[in-house]
Amino acid sequence: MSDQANALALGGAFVDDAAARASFLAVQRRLLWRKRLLPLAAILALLLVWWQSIEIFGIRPFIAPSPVAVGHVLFARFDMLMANLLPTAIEAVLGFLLGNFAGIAIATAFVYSRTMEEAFFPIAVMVNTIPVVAKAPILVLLLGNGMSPKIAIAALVCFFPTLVNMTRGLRDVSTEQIELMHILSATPREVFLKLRVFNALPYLFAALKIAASTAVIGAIVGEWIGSTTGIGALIISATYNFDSPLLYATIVVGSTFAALFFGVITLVERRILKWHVTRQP
Amino acid sequence: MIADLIQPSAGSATVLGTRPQVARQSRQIGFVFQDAALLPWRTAQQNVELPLEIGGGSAPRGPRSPAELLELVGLGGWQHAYPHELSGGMRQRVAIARALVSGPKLLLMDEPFGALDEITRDRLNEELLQIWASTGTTIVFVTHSIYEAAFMAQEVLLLAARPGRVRELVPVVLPTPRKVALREAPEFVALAAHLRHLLESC
Repeated sequence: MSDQANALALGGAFVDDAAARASFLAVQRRLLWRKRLLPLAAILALLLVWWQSIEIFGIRPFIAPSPVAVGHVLFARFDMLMANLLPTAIEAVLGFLLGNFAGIAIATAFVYSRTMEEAFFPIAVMVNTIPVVAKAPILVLLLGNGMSPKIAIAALVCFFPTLVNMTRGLRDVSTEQIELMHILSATPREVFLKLRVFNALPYLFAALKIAASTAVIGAIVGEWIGSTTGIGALIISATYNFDSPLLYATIVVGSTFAALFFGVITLVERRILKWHVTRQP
Repeated sequence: MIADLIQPSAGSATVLGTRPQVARQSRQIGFVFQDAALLPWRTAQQNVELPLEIGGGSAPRGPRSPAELLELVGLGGWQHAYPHELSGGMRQRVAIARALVSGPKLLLMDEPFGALDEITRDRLNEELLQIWASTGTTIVFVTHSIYEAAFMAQEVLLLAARPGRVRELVPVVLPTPRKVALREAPEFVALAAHLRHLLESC
């Protein structure tokens, strides 16, 4: 019934290798298309349900817009949406770079100095427990109303997962690998560059994937306070104007960007972590 | 202690006429671990090249290149495979090639084939004897298997536990080159029985 069962049946039926191989590849292709088309179909079905419920229950547009209205805004005001996405995207990407760079640097310091870790890790945890909506006004007060507070917020939300994962990854090398390095008389620098850094990469990418989407959220929340451009500012103004089609369209734009960012990181991970055992084919 | 991984609690150790630390730093010691301890992000060839990269390019090179060593351990054609694509036996072969790349005078092997199935183990035992014959490297081989010890060794050093001490040094007078079939020979069976009695009386 299922494709897997078909593949087995076909594989058993052909004695000829080439034919079996061809049928196997055909099944693989079909499975791949299935994987691509299923989520698309689910999204379309969901949009249809949404649209029909708005029609049937007569929900007024300012409470929830129909997907048609949202789609219309997406097309008609595309330039305006993109103009607002640009600052948010810059803030998110810069914050991502800054936060992860700081996370990696401090993780390295932690691995080599227990004192540093014992002194500063509790502070890192404390900062991480402050809700993003509370960090935003503090940083706006500290850094003014430009892009810098948004970048700082995006950086702060990226920082913590990277710090924790990177520390773990740099530290979790096997005893035998350390002994191997000792027998080769490797310097601490060589142990770091040839062993620890590579060992930490799978951990780092796990954190980067989290950071990719949270950086965008951080930038958006940063724009809620006293900002005039950006996805965050647009969300606020659309909400206060009861312009729900614009609000939804803005969310679609922001989420699409975050998803693309995540996708880029995943692609980079696949290229770099070819050797990683748990990588999904 | 030979590899300078731990310090003696009393007395001193001499390796190849010098202190273990000096022998280690001049790369006269190769080491093969229980599990291959390969770096998973490096291909077989890159793993073998690792000792040459450590030490700022001034590391001593053995007489054979990494590619030749992979050929020697029977992995020609697998240079570009990553460790997760290799079987346990193949990984251990890579580890042996890596240990030989600096041309060590002494090769230390810590139960290197302990985690392998019997057939693979027998084959690697034979191959290691050939490698030993062709490289002329002294090998110190730690094993829990009496048969492996009797088959591989020129001399078997029996150790007793609690406290760790040397029980006896037994010379092995079996002909070389040895093949697995030797294990069925009466003199081999007698030697293995002798070793077992010694161990049991510890």
